[in-house]
Amino acid sequence: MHISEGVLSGQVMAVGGVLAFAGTAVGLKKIDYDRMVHVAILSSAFFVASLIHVNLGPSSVHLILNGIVGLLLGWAAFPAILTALLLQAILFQYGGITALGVNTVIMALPAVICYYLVGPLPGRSPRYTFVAAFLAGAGSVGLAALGLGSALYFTEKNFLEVSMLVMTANLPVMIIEGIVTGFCVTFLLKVYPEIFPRGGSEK
Amino acid sequence: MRKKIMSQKKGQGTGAVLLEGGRGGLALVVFVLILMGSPPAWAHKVYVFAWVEAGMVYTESSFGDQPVHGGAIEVVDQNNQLVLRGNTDDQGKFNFPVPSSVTSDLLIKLDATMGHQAQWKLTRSELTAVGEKAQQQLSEAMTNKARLEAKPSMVAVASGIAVIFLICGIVSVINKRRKQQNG
Repeated sequence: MHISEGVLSGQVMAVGGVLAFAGTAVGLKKIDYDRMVHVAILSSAFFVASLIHVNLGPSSVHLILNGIVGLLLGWAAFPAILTALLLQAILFQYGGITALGVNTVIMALPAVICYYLVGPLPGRSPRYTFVAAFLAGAGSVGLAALGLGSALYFTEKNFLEVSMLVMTANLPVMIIEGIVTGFCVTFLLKVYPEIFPRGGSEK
Repeated sequence: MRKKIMSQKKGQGTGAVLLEGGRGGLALVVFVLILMGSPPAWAHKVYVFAWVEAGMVYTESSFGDQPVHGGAIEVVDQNNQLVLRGNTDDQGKFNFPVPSSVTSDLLIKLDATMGHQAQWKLTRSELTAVGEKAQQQLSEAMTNKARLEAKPSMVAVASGIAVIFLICGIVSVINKRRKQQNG
């Protein structure tokens, strides 16, 4: 899911950089500074989860966790994911520094979209909490795949082919991510409901 | 129930809230790591590595724990002129004889699709070395290969997490001071 160095055109990287900057600025403005430890924990979870692979048949996949980061942080997902991606690029050469803006938008924007679409659902009805969280986890990976396809389209001009390839390759990740997010949200609602921004302390 | 918990929290100081946040966040991290199940395979950077041995150029392309199947390889000279192209096999390997008309360094480019690209440079001296020098360069190449394939150390992972907490801590302190200054 991370775009490497030298893949994207200058214009795409510039647009990605501007969008990432704008998203991060909104995130820093909306962030609840009394909940900075949540931001740190979720940024760390994103940082670590992307490095852990699960062997799946002949291939291996890794979690992204942008769905749960979005559900729990809202717009603060932008600075949290930006920081984690920057450290991954520096420490592990995972994705490119010049593609950092695009990679941030690809993973953080779906997180924010899921926050608005699915965020209000967990907790309202215990019956549907898992389903809602599953949709957030799987949906955020699916949207990220679409974002990746869009970024590559402006370089390779074969959006449909690239998007289908990315979606197909990430289908197992979507399912695993949905299940992981479902369990995490259900678990957190039981043991620590105030971690959810809509639990009352969001600005 | 949630409202009751939140009303209880409102009466607590920032330190207590941070402590609670840490407890919940730790639970989240532990839960995610437990869900990973089997021992994880680390690293996902895409790379291509090449070395010269007995008149052949050997390349290996990998995502760290998985070879790149069918990745597109392009070999270009220092003027970006295409020398040859091909695809990696199931083990991520692609080999070819050292081109007879080598007059410059060669750049081996890997396109592993979906935004994954990498490249490796073979210098002219590596391509044309013979005898003891060739052995020495092969030894250096293998050292580089081992370095490239090395898994991320736990120190690096811990450092990354520490930096994240440090940044968040600094932001938190700055905001707290700003609040105090504003009364």
